[in-house]
Amino acid sequence: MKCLSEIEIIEAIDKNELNNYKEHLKQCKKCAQLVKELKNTIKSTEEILHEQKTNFKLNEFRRNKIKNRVLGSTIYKKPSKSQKGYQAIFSYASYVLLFFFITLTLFQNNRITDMELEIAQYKIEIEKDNSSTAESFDYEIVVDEFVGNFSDEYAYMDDLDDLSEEKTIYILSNLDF
Amino acid sequence: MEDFEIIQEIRKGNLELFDKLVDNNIEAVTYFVLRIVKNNEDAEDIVQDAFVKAYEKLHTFKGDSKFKTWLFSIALNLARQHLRKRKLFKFFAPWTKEAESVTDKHLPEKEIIRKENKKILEEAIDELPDQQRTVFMLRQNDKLKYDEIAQILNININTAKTNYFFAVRNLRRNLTEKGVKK
Repeated sequence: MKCLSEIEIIEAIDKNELNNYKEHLKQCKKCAQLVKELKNTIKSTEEILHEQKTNFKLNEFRRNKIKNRVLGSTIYKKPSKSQKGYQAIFSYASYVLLFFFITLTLFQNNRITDMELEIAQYKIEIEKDNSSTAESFDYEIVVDEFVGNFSDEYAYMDDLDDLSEEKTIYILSNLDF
Repeated sequence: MEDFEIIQEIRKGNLELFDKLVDNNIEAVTYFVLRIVKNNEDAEDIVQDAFVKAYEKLHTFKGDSKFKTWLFSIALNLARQHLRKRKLFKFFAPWTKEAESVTDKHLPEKEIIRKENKKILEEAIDELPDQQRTVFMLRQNDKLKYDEIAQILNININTAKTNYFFAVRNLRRNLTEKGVKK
């Protein structure tokens, strides 16, 4: 009499079809013992797993924590098309503003305020009155050229490039940066 | 309200009902993921991601299987990705062993044997190959049918059955070797 394979027995237990082998198990002690061991194994592990599952109870706090995170994430807050549009505009505007401020900061050190310009003009006027070497310069033209290169509020040092080296040195030496 | 009814309502636009779907499944899926990753925080993150993904992909859910089965497969994939990232692809590590030895000496002998057996059984389950262990847990723990297990693991039904049979066979052999006391 050929013994049953272990897998055959497990399948029979799983399908609850051990009765099909009733006669064989009565006669074969080895197979009967194997059935007993396999049943024990399944029962024991089932008990352990059941115990673990019973002990596992998602408490209200953790349950709510996960729930809130799930429900609070993207699911109910998907932006509409118009919201997406506004978001895009806002995002674009932020970049433009950021670029503007970076540029402003970079050039900040080079700008001359109106007040500084007035002081420079005043200094040049005084120099014109007092200096004997000033005849080689037409001060009004120098100042006009310099002032002409100013923007409404700020003047940039780059604007001095348009003046001749001689005039630039003169103006710079009279500006108190 | 059953899951499939809730899903139909969500599809009609009653999005707030997703709350109920979360309620119905949160415990089972959290326990399932926790068994895999063995860390509460990680499990919570994965469960959250699984629900969000399920919500986003709800239109692809055909309803051929239970929502729970579908959710489990999403959670399993996320848990595996997580473990791959951690490079700790080891399912079902020993269940929390909280200071057992401290109190063991005060327990009756029968209770000590029961605890020892429990420990051996847990270790035996841990030592199973990954797929066998997952199939065994889904079958024994979640009482899922083979076709449901097959869907979750993306394998065919016969592979699921074979994995379960081999898991039981390996467990018996392992327990016999370790000599579980009766």
